[in-house]
Amino acid sequence: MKTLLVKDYRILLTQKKSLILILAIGVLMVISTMEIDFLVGYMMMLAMIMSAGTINYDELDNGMSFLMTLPASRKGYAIEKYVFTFINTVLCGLVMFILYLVTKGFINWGFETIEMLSVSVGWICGIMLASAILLPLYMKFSAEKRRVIILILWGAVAAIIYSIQKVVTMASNGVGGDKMAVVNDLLAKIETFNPIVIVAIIIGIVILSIAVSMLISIRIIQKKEY
Amino acid sequence: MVIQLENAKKKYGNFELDCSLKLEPGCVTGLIGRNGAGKSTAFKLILGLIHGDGGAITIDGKNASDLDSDTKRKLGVVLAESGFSGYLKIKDVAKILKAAYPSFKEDDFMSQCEKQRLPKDKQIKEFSTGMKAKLKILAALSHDAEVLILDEPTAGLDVIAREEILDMLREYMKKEDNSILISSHIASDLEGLCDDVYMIENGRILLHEETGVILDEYGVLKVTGEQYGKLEKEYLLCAKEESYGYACLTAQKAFYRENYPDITIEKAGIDQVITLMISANGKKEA
Repeated sequence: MKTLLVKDYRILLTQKKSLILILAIGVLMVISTMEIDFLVGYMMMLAMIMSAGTINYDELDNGMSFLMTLPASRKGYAIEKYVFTFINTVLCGLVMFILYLVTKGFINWGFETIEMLSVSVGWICGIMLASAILLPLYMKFSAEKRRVIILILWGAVAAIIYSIQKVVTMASNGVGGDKMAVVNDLLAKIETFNPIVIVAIIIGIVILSIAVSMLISIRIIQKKEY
Repeated sequence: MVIQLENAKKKYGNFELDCSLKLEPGCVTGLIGRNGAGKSTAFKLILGLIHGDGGAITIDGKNASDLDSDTKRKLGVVLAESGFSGYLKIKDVAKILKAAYPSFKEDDFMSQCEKQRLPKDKQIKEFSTGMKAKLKILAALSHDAEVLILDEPTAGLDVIAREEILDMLREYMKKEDNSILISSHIASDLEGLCDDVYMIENGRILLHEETGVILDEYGVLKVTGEQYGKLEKEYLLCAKEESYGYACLTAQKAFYRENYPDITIEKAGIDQVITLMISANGKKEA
């Protein structure tokens, strides 16, 4: 695991210029919109994609053959990708949270500290859920197919977020008649739940998804030939 | 550490590998054959990179398909078409090796790289073929491996670079019980290095012999049709029709020299042996 982590961070460091460029774009977007919650999500999503993207570098020029001769197992390789993605996503969330704390004295972000913390944790859960889908697909398919997968995944995430927002807005505005009454009832019920229970359920779903995804990835890697 | 393949099988469409070989401690064993003969497939089976379709492959008594990290640490591997990511630099490689092998000595590795004139701050993808080959060998030698498994380590190199790499391997073999399994399609590389050689063709081992025996006792008899008719054939391994008659391979050069003083007998190197064996085998199959 340590060997593979060192290798992945070394590969990530070879992309220093891209990282700085992406960060600069993110900061510019925040300056123009003043929405740090967007920057948190943007940075974490990129951290996840860049972490998963190390699989592309591993496979370049038949690199996986040599990698599998190092003291690391196939199972270890699959697990390491999850650990690497998790560390980077959480680290990114932490950096963004610290950035918020440092700047909140002179910038009104429109968030209280506790709200900002929940935004960060929410994004971590969302990104880990996305990585649970992305990583097995990355391990299964070739680099060319991965590009298509990324596009489809981005599209699906955008469509789901848009649909949820639309339904919730319609429900709260009383548009949509009886059908929306069901949604309103559901939202009302959710509001009566203890927030701690909701958070526990979400974290449980994320952990379960990651565990199932990891098992699938291990099977994929163990069946592969290099 | 012993590496053993017993009827190890692997099928790829029409090609089928069915190979048995053994690497003993303290030995340099060569696997020679044409491109596509099955050398890399055999190496991949040993390293657990592909799944076998039958037979047994063991390293140090353990099944090759699920080698633990401790056993892997005892191996130094060079693969012909694979290595560290081209985006990394030597200093990155050093850090990765340090994390992978407790016995890795970073300073020694860096000074070896310097000695071989390998640039520390250049990405590997910018290296020449010779530089990449040297880096692969240095990485395999850097952690006191008990066995080196080298698939075509000298492929595509000029004579000087090849000789430098062979010198590194000779230096490695000075340590008792170290062993090397090496594949190549360049016979001269193996003649000066290997204790024994396996010849592979179409996934089958055609011949296993000690290198010294090949060089001392094997010979090529060049005979006319008439001479061939009178020749004792019991000690002939194979014969190939030529414009002048027949070229016959024997492992009993001395016998023919004594009993047939009139015929031309040439010394057989690995190249001649493999060429004759392959062409005779091809005719047999046809």
